[in-house]
Amino acid sequence: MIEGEFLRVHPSTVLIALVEQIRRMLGVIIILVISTFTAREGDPNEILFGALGFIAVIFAAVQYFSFGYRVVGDHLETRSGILGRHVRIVPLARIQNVNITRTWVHRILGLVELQIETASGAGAEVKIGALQEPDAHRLKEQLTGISAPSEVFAAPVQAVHYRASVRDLIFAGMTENRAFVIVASAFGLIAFTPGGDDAIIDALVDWVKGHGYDAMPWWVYALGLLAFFLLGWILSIIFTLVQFWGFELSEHDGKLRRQYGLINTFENVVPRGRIQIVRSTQSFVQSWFGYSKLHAETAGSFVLNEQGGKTLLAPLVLGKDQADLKQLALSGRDIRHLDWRAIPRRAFWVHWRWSALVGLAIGAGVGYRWEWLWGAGVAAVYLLLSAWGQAMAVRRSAFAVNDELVAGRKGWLLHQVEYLPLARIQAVNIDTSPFQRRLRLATVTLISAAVSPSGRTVVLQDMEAAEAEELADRVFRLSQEQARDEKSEV
Amino acid sequence: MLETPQPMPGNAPWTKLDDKVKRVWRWGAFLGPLTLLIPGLAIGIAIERKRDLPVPLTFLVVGAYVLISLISFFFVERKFEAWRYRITEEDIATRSGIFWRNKRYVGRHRVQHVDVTAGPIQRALGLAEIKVYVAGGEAASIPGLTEHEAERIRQTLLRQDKVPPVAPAPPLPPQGL
Repeated sequence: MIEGEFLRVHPSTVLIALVEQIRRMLGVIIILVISTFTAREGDPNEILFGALGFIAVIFAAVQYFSFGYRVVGDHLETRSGILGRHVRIVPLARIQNVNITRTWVHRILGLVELQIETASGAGAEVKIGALQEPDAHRLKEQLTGISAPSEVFAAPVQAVHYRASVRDLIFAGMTENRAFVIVASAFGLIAFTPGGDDAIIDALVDWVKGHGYDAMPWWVYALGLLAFFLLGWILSIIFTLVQFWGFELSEHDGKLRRQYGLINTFENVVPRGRIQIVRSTQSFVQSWFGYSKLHAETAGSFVLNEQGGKTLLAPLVLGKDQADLKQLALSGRDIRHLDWRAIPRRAFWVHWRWSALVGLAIGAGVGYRWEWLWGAGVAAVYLLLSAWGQAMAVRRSAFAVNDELVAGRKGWLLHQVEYLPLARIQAVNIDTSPFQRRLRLATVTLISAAVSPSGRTVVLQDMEAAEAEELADRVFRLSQEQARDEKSEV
Repeated sequence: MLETPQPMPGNAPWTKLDDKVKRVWRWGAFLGPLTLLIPGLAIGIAIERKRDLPVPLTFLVVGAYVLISLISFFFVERKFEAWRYRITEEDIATRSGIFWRNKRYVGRHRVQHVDVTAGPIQRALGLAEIKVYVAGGEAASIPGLTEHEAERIRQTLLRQDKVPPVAPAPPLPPQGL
């Protein structure tokens, strides 16, 4: 077994580390490439390129030759660094999670990377760069005591709860709102077309003039924009497909196991005790079709391509299957019989008065600069639209409590439903602004132990003040009792 | 006060901060906005050198500084009156704020660690601040305690045996659906 001597990782680590280095220096490399095109004779670009490459190779080699790992008794030891030697000892009992991931380089070489997480912070504590797959599974088994899901050993209790079909993923890509980023980058690419940035535009103008127009009609611009939009859309679909290919959520020894990816594959296990908040989001387009996306906020976890602690449970799932998955992630806590209570309609005024001020300011600006009639029109349209949006948002906001969890619902263009088990509540805040107080409203914030700073709270905004006090009091008391009962699980 | 068993938040007596914290806050009213005044002055002087303005920009900056400082200076008394904290066997609770009011509740057994900190002015007056951390971050802080009191609260919060005994855990966590 792996004991005694420090073990080296697979020699291809040098290559993988090199690719990683290049990826990190991508910004510098792009600038260098661009400047090479514009460079005059005698500029030291080649020398810079050489130096950069040399440094990358040296770093990669040092990383390989200095890194070693071994399991001694109940500890994992790693060693790294040449000038400053760094030894890290991780007790096996503290290991929360072992992820197996693979970038495309790993895939070509038939290797995997092992990421070992402890409960501390939002980063992988130890990364073991490149291992043969059987070795990785054996080490993982040794570290976690969970046997590897391979064909040889029949996997124990395992039930697949969710599998993303190609259709699901395509739809997710279609409704994901990253299209505009790609559109922007496409425009950026055009600007860098060799031969001056109007090469394409010139060709277009010639073509248009050849068809009997004096100047560019507006619909040519519209078509161009549409073309870019479609391009971004298709790219977005492809990205989603590649990233989440074969997404599968299964139960494995009572833990949730996820695996996905076409080029970079990823596999990890989430102990359910570490799930703090379960959250589903849907854009308004997705809501027409009854689809939403499911996330879990976990305590102390880091996952490739995902923000610290934000664990994707399902890229896209239909309404009727959603409840099952949510309940699975919430360790069976009941979410089907929730008594949703809306927030009072007068909450509208708390937020809309700011929109009203902004609208009036814009209107005054337009009126002062151009025409007062125009200003009034702009202000009126802005006020109406924002009032409508705010009214919709207030209508959707609701909360529910039972003996096991708190749930909140909000959002107008982006619907969001979140669930927080009472046993996971760390602290409770009640806040009131002067305006809220006049309307007898209050905001309750429930704080969990999740690591993601943006996702660790459930905020119930603009509740009836008396109700807020009562809810905070009840939830806090129940959470205290349940946390004591459940202490072993957390 | 610390040892009264009061399971329900809301029934136990609330404690005021130490009187001397008002002096800390009054100093703070003038020292705090300095971090805005200095860069503000630098930018103001830089702009004034470039072009003539009807009103000297630096005057405006200094005026704003004085105004902000005076406002926070005169609200110190009310801020002090609004501040309360309460530590029971079960929980730590604070409430504060004149216009934007907030209440915080933290379960005692959720506490991960407790910091006692003191800035130079607090130290000169023999005061300290307690910061309570739970898993995931800071959950509550109580300023304006005497050093002795802060230390006593810290000891109380860290004394595990004062927290009601933990119920025996079930052998296995529930297995979901």
